[in-house]
Amino acid sequence: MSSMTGLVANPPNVYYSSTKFVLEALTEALAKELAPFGIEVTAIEITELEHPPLHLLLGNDVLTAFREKLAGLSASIDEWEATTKDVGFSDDKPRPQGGQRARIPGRIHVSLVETPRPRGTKEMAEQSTKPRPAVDFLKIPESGDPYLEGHKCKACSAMYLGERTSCSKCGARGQIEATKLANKGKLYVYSIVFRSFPGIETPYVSAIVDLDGGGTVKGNLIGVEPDPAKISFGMPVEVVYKDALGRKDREGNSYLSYFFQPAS
Amino acid sequence: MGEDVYVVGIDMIKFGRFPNKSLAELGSEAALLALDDAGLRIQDIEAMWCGNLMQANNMVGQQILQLIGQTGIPVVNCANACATGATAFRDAWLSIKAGVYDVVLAVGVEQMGKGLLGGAGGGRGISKEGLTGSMTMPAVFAEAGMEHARKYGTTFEQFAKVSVKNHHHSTLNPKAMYQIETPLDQVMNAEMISYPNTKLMCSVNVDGSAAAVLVSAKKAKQLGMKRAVKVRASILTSDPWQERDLVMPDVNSCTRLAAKKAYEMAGVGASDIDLVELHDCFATAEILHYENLGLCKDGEAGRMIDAGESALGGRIPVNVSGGLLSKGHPLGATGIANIYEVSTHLRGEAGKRQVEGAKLGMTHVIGLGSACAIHILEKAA
Repeated sequence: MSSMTGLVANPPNVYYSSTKFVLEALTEALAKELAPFGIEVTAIEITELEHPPLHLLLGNDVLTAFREKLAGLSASIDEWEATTKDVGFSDDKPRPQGGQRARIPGRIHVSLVETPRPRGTKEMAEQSTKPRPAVDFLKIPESGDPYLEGHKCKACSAMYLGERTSCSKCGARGQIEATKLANKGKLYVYSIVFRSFPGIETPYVSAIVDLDGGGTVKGNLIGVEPDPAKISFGMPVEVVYKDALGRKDREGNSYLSYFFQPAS
Repeated sequence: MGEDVYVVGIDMIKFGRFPNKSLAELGSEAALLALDDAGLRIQDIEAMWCGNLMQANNMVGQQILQLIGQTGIPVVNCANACATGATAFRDAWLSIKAGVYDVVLAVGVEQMGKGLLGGAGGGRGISKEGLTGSMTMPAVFAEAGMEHARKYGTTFEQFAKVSVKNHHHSTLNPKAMYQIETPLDQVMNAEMISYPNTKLMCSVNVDGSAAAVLVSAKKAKQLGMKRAVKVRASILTSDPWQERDLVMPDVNSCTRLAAKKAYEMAGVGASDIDLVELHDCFATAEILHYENLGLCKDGEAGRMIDAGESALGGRIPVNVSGGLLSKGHPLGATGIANIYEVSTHLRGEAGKRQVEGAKLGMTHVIGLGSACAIHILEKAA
């Protein structure tokens, strides 16, 4: 028998939360150890908790692990939903008398700890060594160099990134055709980003570049100090293609991205 | 066009952080304040518009009525990014213009978390933030400001002066989140978030609510015109096509379009306006909107802030409430809170921050994506 405190630690019950967290780990480890023997381990948590706790996840590995864990938990909650509801006090069942905020021990939340899913060899086999494009408008041909692809309206020459059927400038339909964007352009404007979302390395230069021949693209400007004195509007830049800063998706695939760097 | 529309009750709660209150509780507080201000009861209201962004799928307007009176009236819940509150107000206005109702209520309410707003660039594959530039709001508005710097040589210091001014204004506004002076060196030396916006040049994420009671001319005459505020123009635009749209959200063209239409509808010019509450979500944005709203000529916004023309006592005071930068920016409430501020000046009830003799005022909000709402308000009597 665990408690909601096994999921969320609250003051002032430091020792109490600690023991309940131990109980959660014990249950989970036992479930995994005993699974091969066909023995299932169950934690029963008495709680009125309606929302899951917030976790700050940093890095792909912990995100993947946590998502898998959540998916497993979610599946087991769904599976036992009927039971959960049956043993809880709902609005049409009488609650024990007491203060409005009194804890009601009768509300039981049953959850089964997931049985660990063996890491499949299928996923590994599907992994490709060839990097994938970080954005849809980056094209990696079978042979030849990667490039950025624009979509141009034949009626009014407006340029877009990504496929579309109609032109938002002139409204023409069926006039959009793919075109290769230039690898050279000029810096329009930029910002130097010092604070971003958790886990994103800073500082970096977020740049908006007008490519020669049409098309405006936003990207990281590299090869220049993140200092306004070192960056000038209109400076010539070129597009280079590199690994996406080591970022990988949930399946561990690598990605190719584009960057801008000063050109002569 | 239909008959004139008047605001007869309007108020806001002091913006702050209220983690222990529900969204509906916050909204109901402003609704009751506005009803009291109008001398009306919930039973007098014929329809309600509720603006909220972050919990827009939760029937927030109905939840508010469940707290203050379920009279069975139609309720519309609307979301339009940071123009949400102004959109609720405008649609309430439209219903009277159309001759459908005589007394309606518009409420704007928001509960915000802390931290950066922006597109995380999620979806398939990998996170794009910091890989293909930045889509955080501070960076997006920094880049918009840098476009002005590129065209006209606007400096980091000029952008920073906007924050100095608006923080100063908020020291005179008891309903602002902060009442703290921030001298220029403090603003410029604060943590750099996204150059040229430092932390003190970013608006404050707060909880808040504001509400307005709008009535027909017929009803306004019954209730008395003494404190009534006439809606001279109500305009909403979306973003017209721009060359760099796909990578650079544009806050300029939709504002210019809305301003042009608003001046036309009201039959006035920028020089007739006595005060403006505009969308200073970041210090850089305020500079852009001086020109977008026609408060100065193109390229003169830097000079305008240097000369103190937009400060209280200046040629055209802007954001005397403290603005989003210091009063705070609860997204869904902001649009109505701006209208509250201007109405309070037109009524001559703004205390220490009163713009003397204010007869005509303008409010402006931008919802990135984009929506722009502008209202021109006039002292009725």
